[in-house]
Amino acid sequence: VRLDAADPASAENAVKEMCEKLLANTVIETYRFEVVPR
Amino acid sequence: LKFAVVVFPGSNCEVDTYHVLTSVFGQECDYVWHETAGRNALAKYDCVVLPGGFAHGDYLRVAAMAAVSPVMEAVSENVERGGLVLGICNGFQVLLEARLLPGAVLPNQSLEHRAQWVHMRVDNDHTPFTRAYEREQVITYPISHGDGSYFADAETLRQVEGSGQVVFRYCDTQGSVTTASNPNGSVNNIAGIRNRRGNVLGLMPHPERACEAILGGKDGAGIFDSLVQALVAA
Repeated sequence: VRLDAADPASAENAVKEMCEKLLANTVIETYRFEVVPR
Repeated sequence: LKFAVVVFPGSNCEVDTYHVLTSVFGQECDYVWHETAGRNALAKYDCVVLPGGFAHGDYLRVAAMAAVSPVMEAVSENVERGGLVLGICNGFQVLLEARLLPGAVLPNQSLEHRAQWVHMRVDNDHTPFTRAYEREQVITYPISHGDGSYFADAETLRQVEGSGQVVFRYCDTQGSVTTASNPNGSVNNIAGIRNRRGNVLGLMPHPERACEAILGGKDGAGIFDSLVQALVAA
């Protein structure tokens, strides 16, 4: 996923929110991701 | 009384549910499309039903997309207001994904889609959804699902069990809760739960498919009987 963010921390927050709200159900799933600044 | 049956793309039990509410129970009912937006979109309904099916094709994860559909804002608002919300099969899964009920479902332990009749024991008859039943009554409903194995972490399960939130449990014909009578591997044979406040019920089996003798059984009528009784009394 490519996204525009002011800095790595806000990118991290945005991805975390995507994971928690939709991409993963943390009752039965875990997730991990890595932010790579470009 | 006025009922709403929410329709997602991929719902496939909305007509059965509508039929039962209108033709069998003589109530008013509207279909409400999932794109219906606004917090008060469902405010005029006495009860909202999320029917079975495969909402949004169950893409990404069972019920995951449906849980973020626009209409869910109004469903949540109805729950907060104390309105009654019933989720059947995929509708139950939507309520779990939307965190309106605790826990989640996993694929059936058999890894097979199971379509069969099952026996359930009524564990809690003090709810607006089950007051027409008696505690420990054994009732028979059909199931049809591939992802119905109820799961909750130990702490959540302790709370759910400790506060009467387990409403239905899979059992044998005598009401004994056994491994053999569990069709999907649900923890503690849980078939249906309510929220802590008691105004939301979700269950995997299909009451709407068991309300007329011609369909093989009428035990499901108890849920709709209960709802009508509870709403008339309110």
